[in-house]
Amino acid sequence: MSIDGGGTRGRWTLGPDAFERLLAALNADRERAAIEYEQLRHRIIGLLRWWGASHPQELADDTLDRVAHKLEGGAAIGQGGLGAYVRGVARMVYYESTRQPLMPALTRDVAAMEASDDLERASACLDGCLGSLAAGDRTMLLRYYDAGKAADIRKGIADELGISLTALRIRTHRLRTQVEKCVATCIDGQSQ
Amino acid sequence: MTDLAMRAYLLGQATEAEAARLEERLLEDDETFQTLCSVEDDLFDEYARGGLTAQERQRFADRYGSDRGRLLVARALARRPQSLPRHSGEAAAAGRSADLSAVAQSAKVEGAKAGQWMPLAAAAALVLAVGATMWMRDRPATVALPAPTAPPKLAAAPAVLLITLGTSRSAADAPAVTVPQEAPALDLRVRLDPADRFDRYIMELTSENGAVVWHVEDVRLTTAGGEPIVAATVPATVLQAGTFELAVRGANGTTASEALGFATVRINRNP
Repeated sequence: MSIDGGGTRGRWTLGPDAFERLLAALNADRERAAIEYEQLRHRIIGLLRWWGASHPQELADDTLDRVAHKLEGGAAIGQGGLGAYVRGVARMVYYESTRQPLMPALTRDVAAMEASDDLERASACLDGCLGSLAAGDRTMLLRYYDAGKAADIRKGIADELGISLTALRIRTHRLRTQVEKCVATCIDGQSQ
Repeated sequence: MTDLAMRAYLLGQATEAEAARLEERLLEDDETFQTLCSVEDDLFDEYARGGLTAQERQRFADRYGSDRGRLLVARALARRPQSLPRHSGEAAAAGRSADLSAVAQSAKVEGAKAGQWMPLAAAAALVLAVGATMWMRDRPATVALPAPTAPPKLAAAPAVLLITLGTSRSAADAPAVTVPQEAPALDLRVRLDPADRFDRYIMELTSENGAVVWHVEDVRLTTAGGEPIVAATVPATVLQAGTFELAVRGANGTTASEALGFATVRINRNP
């Protein structure tokens, strides 16, 4: 078996033993480990996206496969070394991917993509998507992003909710992601 | 890791070592990852509201220019009327992160000597020394920025407001200063922490409804009595009676600016 990060030749695939070793490296409790696996995968996708990878999900899976393969081969990843190790593997996977035939370049002409019609549609969709949130979530989200990023207002919201500012940020980010997906679906629906 | 460091990372301005450190950390810690995502959301909003510098806009476009969906949502959010007044009682009750403990002195010169009327613009000098609070080293509120205006040519001495940004925390009300109607401008001076040395400074006044009423960049540090001061002139025409928030940022070269703090001031206008 050999690993080919390019994916064009025979490629090592993740077997059940290797997967179990990976889970065990994440957490001794298997159920907890499965959750951590998904969270780690999500973070690797995010990292690859920030690096500019065009297919971050595929590359994240490749990254985790390679980490599992390494563990199957007997490597031990120290507690403090997981992030560094995974990053190193992800970096290698990413660089290899950039040597693949390029996909059509994505336009970066931001102004061209924001025609006034699009913005009007987005605004209308945003209103609808915000309306679909629970009232409390909607209020929290709008207050959080209202008036710029006033730290005192955000701290005030967190205090009112009895949560930390970090917890508030995470909560609003998730709601915003939900709204963004809703708006994208709405806009696509109107375009058809 | 600070928001500023994360923001720099997202704009491709972090060093390799800083980037590696952040990336290793976010792979191990979900909270760090989520916080970075939150900072990224704020970056989209800053872009949509015109809060990025030219260089930052270019870097943002290079990275996120194809992210049409998120850009549209950020733009749509920026278009929404603000649901809360900027300085609502609710926000005040929830606690402010930069409070002022103020000693306000207001000197007004009215009338004239020997029956002559001395123009208030020539004689009014209001000095307000405000001991401020904990520095809030966070990004200031950002809203869509109007084009910076050149300082007006003044025929007479403007009113003067001196603010000291310090370290005391207080729940006291914002200090009030009276700007006579005849005063053409307010000479705004901010006494800085000696440690906050930058190539240039940005000063911005935001009204209660979140509108930026005055913004100036490229303010240079001066000294007065051995103390570091940044000073700029605010046209009186933008100073309606009300409460304003002053934000001060420092920047070196083309790097991202750093928030040095903000202070709340109440402006009264004489009839």
